Amino acid sequence: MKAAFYSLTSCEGCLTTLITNLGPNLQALWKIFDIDYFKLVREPVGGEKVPRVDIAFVEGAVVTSLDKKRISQIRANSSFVVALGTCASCGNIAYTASRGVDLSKRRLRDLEVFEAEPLSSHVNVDFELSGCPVSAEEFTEALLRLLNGIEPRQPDFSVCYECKLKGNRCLLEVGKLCLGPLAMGGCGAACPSVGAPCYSCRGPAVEADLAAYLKTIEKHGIAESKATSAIRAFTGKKIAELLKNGQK
Amino acid sequence: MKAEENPYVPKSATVVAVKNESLETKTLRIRLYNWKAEFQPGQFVQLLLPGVGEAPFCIASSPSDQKHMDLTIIRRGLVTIASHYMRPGDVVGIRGPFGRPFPVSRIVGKDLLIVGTGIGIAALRSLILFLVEHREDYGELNLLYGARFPEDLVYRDEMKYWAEKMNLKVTLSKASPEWGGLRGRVTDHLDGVVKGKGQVAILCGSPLVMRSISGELLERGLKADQIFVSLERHMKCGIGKCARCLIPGGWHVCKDGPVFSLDEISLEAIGD
Amino acid sequence: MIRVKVGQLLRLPSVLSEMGYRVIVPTESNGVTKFADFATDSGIDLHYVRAINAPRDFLLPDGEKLFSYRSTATVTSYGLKIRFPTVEGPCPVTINAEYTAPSGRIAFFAIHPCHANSIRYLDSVMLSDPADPYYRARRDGMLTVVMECEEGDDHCFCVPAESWELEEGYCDILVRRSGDGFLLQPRSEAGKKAASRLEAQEELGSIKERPPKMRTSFRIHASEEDIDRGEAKGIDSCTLCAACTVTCPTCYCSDIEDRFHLVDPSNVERVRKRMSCQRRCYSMIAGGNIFLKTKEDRYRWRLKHKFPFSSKAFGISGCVGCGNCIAFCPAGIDMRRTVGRGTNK
Repeated sequence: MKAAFYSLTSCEGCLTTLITNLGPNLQALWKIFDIDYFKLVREPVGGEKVPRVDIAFVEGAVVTSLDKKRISQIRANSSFVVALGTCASCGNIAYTASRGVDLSKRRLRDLEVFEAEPLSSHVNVDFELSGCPVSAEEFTEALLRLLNGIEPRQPDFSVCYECKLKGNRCLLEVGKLCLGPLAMGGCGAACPSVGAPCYSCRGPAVEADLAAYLKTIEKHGIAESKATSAIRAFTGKKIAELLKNGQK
Repeated sequence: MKAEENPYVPKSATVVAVKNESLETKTLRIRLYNWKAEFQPGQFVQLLLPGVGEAPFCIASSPSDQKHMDLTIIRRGLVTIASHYMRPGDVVGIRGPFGRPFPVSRIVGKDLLIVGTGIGIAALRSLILFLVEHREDYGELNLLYGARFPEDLVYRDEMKYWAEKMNLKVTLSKASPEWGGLRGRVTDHLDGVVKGKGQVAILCGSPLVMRSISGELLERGLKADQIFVSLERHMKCGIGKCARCLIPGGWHVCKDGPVFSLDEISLEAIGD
Repeated sequence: MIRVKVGQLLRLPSVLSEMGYRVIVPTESNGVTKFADFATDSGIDLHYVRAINAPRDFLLPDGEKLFSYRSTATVTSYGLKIRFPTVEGPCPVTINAEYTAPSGRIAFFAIHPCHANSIRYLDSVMLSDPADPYYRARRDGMLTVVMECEEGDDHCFCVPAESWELEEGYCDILVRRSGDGFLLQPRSEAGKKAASRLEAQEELGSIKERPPKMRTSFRIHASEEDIDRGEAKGIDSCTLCAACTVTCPTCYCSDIEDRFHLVDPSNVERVRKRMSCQRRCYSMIAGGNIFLKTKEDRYRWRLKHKFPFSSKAFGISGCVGCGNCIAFCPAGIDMRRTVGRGTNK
């Protein structure tokens, strides 16, 4: 089975995390797959050409004209496209940061720059693996399921679920703006466990309910405006859609 | 406690044959080694595919063969898709049989109406084979089987043998023009097979269809305690400890079901 | 009955631990009380009213390994074929489950009567035929030191829920605050043995549990019809965070899954994880059909499981009136509004 790992405009943190956190699994990965393209690890077999593969993992958001070209090439040459990380699945910080900015004069070397978009705005994405950066365990689980011909799964719970399982005090109760109820779980409630509020770096939960969340924080005396600006930071396009629907 | 007594530990079995039933459905014939399964029509087992997971399936073979089990599986989720890659000789784990079967001894001598839709017919095959073997103990047998497309029909090769022993009607809701049989939903073909009071009805299929048939049968004079439905839930443990198969009324589908009579549960409990 | 000073009571966990028990004590950290394994430096909280976890987390631990087995797969090829090698001849019994029953006795120190009753409920679920072998092994030889509550907080309702009384077998030592010390009433042989190791003053008479002072009083009406008809006030602000089911001491729903690793995929672990009816996959069947679609469905389902379903299936109510689901709900949803009737609330 052939696989490839691509990087669009991003910090390359997701692929770096995989290399550092997969440990012995990384070798196993190399045994199972013919990995034709993984620039961080070795020179691609066929140079910059996008090879024909079974599974393509793509990190990063679509920002430049090159990204646009690459993503459509990747889609055309891959049977299964996995968006790796929140940049690829939601647009992440770049999505919100590039809105309302005049980009027409900006250049990245000789490339044109556009408003950042997640992969799903340009091509059909088969599976989205959220996380900023992506979690190596979740990546392994998704990979094992793909090997079995089974569709990988996203956590169906919010950060709160794991937070409560760990027995943490609710940060909303102490008046901190925590996006836990909205955020997709699976991270093991890493931030709230050490008293730092959740910023929803993994994008919105499968059943995120913005209206309910805003009602809930109102009860704890947190202003809606404060919340909506915080929500926009990481969750990019997905929450932008939710916010738009909420205003209607 | 030894591993053999632990209800969570599966017993080993092997796949001895795989039959393609339809595009999406296969029947696995499983041979049990060093143990026998005493089961009744309507009971289910937990099938463990090593390294993939476990899922509940109704036994689809005749209870007279205690060394084998047939499981008819439609591609739907994790285990079911993986099961389609099984080949003869592969090892699987079996837990069970679990659950309350169809009341075959209580309904001796009665006229029966069996309605199966979609893959629901798999849960009824064990009963059908049992009835074929014990034909003289029962009254008039009517089997109504509904599917959507001709490609969805399962047990096609066996149907003609069944038809010798019972009145078999097959109807397709999305039949192609070449289809020569009945068209429409099972609810359109209840005339002639529903005899009213005294008849026993046994249903298995999609929850919505079961609900509408149940309502129709009650209207046509069948008594609630004479209508049996086989329910589907994703049981995880099979022994009433995980509470995943609770239904309204406080029943566990794994322990108290999967077969219920309609005087025990409300129509809402069937689901939608 | 004996009278002890606070220092002696706090010595009881180490006494129990010397007797061979795994001791679970309430500890306070970051403003919440949590049950945890006893260590000599753990700050035991004797004044807590509510704890975020419950004895359930130790009797039915999350992610418990049920058994492990070796599937004969090796990672030599791609795709599914690696998982299911062909086996010739008679069945070689490859699912050779390795199973070790949990061992050791467990002791709960300073749990409240509602916790003791939550163990009683779990017993009726897990030990009903066929018994759960893992739960049974953990529970056998259990010792409980029950600390009486004098007064509940705003969320407590163990008196309306009739769960302040202690059945036989669910209290080995009853502790009551009295003056600047504590009264200890051993109620079983094991309890007597543990209490005899403390420096104490013998007192005449005996104590029996008494109902704590409640800030609310109402009657619970919780048939299926009552729950269906009852108002679900504030449910629109529910974010499905599942805090109600995670913190509930009697929630026992679980999920069983296979866990395996990329490096050695032939070594498979079967684990039992906690599940919540507030989650989407709780009621999902093959093909993705969900029976509990809306949050109101799930809210009512939780109550139905606690009250009518439990009464029907196990003959005991699944709600011990601890109020955790109300206290820990970020949206402040109060189930007493749905099932409680009558006097002041």
